[in-house]
Amino acid sequence: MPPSAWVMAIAIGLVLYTGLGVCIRIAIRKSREQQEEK
Amino acid sequence: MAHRDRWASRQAFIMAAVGSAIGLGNLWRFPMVAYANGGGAFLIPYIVALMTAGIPLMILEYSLGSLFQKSSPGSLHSASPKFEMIGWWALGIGSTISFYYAVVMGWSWDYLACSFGTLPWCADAQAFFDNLLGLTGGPGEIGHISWPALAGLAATWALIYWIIKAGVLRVGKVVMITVPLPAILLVLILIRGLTLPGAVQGLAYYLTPDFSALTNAKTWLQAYAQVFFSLSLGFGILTAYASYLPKKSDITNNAFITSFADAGFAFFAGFAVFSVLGYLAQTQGVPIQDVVRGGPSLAFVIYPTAMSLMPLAPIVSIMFFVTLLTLGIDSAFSIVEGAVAGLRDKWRISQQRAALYFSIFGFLVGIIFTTGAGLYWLDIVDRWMNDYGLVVIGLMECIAIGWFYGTGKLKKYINEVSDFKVGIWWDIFIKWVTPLALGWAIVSSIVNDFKEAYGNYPTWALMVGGWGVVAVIIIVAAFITKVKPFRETEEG
Repeated sequence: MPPSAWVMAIAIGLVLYTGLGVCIRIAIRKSREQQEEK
Repeated sequence: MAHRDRWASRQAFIMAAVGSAIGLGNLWRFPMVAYANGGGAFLIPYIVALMTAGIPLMILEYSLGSLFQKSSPGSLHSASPKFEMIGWWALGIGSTISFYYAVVMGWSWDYLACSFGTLPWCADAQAFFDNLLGLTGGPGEIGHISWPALAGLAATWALIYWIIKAGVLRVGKVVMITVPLPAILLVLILIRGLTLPGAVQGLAYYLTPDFSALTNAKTWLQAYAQVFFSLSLGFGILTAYASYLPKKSDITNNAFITSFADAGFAFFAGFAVFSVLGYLAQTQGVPIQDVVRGGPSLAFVIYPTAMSLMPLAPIVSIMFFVTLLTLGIDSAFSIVEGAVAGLRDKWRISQQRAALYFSIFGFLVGIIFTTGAGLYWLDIVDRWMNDYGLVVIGLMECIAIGWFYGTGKLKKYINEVSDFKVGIWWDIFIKWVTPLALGWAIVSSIVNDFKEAYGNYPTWALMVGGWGVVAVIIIVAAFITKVKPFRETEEG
C-alpha cells in the first residue's frame, strides 16, 4: 500500500475516532455531574 | 392529554439514534462511493459535508423533537401549522423506504439460512438473481412471487412489529444488542479478510488518495449526498426519537456522537469490504475493478462468492449475514417508529395497534418487491425516494425553520440544554450552506434525468415507480394534514 494511503487512513481515523471519543467522554462526564447534583 | 414514552437513559437514546443511522448503506454504499470518488481523498469532502450539512441538520431535527415533544409532523405543526405537511411528507418517504428495506432484509434471512447449508440454491453467483429473485427481463414482466423472499419479508415485519409494539423501552433494550453486535462481527470479518492474500491490494484501492478528484464538483455532490442519506435525515426518525427524551436533554453532543459513530462505522466497513474484494480479485485473477459492486450485488453476489472460496466459509458467511440483519433491523424499525409516532400523536391510537396496522400494510406493499420484477421496482422507487424525497424534505426543513420560523428561537433552546453551544455558524449552515448543497443535488438529479432515463428503464416505469409514488405520498400527506388537528401531549 502506498504511503499516501497509510497517511489518509491514519489521519481520517484520528479525526473520526478521536472526535467520537471526546464527545462520548464529555457526555459521560456531564451525566455523572447531573447524577451528583440529584 | 396523553403520557409520552421515555427512553430509559441517554445511552439508550444515543444507541437507538446510532443504530438508525448505521444501516446497510454504511457497508455497501459508502466504501464504493469513496472508491469511485478519489479513494482516501474522498474522506476530506465527506468530513466537510458532515460538519457543514449533516450535523447542523441533525441538530435541527433533534431540537424540534426535544423542544415540542412530538413526532416530526407534530413538531413542525407546533412551529407553524403550515409546516405540518412537511412532516407527513417525510414520514411518507420513510415509510415507502421501509417497505422495500424490509424486503432486502428478507433476502438476508434467506442467505443466513443458506449459510447453515439448509438451502442449496444459493451456491453460485447467479443464484441471487435466478434462484432467489427469479428476475424477469424488465419492470413490465412481473413474473412470480419468490416464496423465500416472501418468507423473509414476513419474518422481518414480524420482528419489527415485536420490537415496536412495546414502545421505546423495548427499542432501547434491542439496540443494546443490534448496535454493538455488527461492529464486533465486522471486526472479526476484517481480521479474517486481512489474513487473506490480496487483502492489502484491496485496501490500497480503497485508501490511495486521488486529490485531483477534489477539483471535481461531482465528488463534493456525492459527499453531501452520502452524508445526508447515511444519517437518517429527512425521515422524521430523529425528531420522533428526540421527542422521547425529557426536555432539557442535550442536543448538540448527541448529534456529534451519532454523526461521528456513523461516519466511523462507514470508514471502518470499507476496510472489511475492500480486504475481501482484494482477495476475490486475486483468487479469480481479475482486476479489482471487475469485482467492485455496490448495493445488493455486493452483499448477495460478490461477498458470498468471496466467502465461498475462503476456509471456514460457513462461519464467515453466518457472521456476515447476521451483520447485515443487525445493521438493517434497527434502521428499519426506527423508520417505522417515526411513522407510528406520527400516527399515534395524531389519532390517539395505541402504540401496539399503530404498529400492527403499519406492519401488516408494510408487508402487503412489500410483496410487489418479492416478484420477479421486484428488483427493478425497488431500484426505481429507491432512486426517487432518495433523490427527490429525502433531499427535498431536508431542503424544506431548512427553509421552513431557517427562513420562516427562525433559527434564533431554536438556537436559544439548544444552547440552554446542550453540552456544546451552537453559534452563528449553525444559522449560516441551516440558512445557506445546507439548502444550497441540497438544492444543488436536486438540480443535478433533474438535469441527469433529462439527459438520460434512469437505469435505461422505460418511461412509463419511471413515471409510475418514481414520480407516481412521489405524487401519491404528497397527496396522502396533504390529506392527513387537513383531516384532523393535532392533540396536545404532556411530558411524561
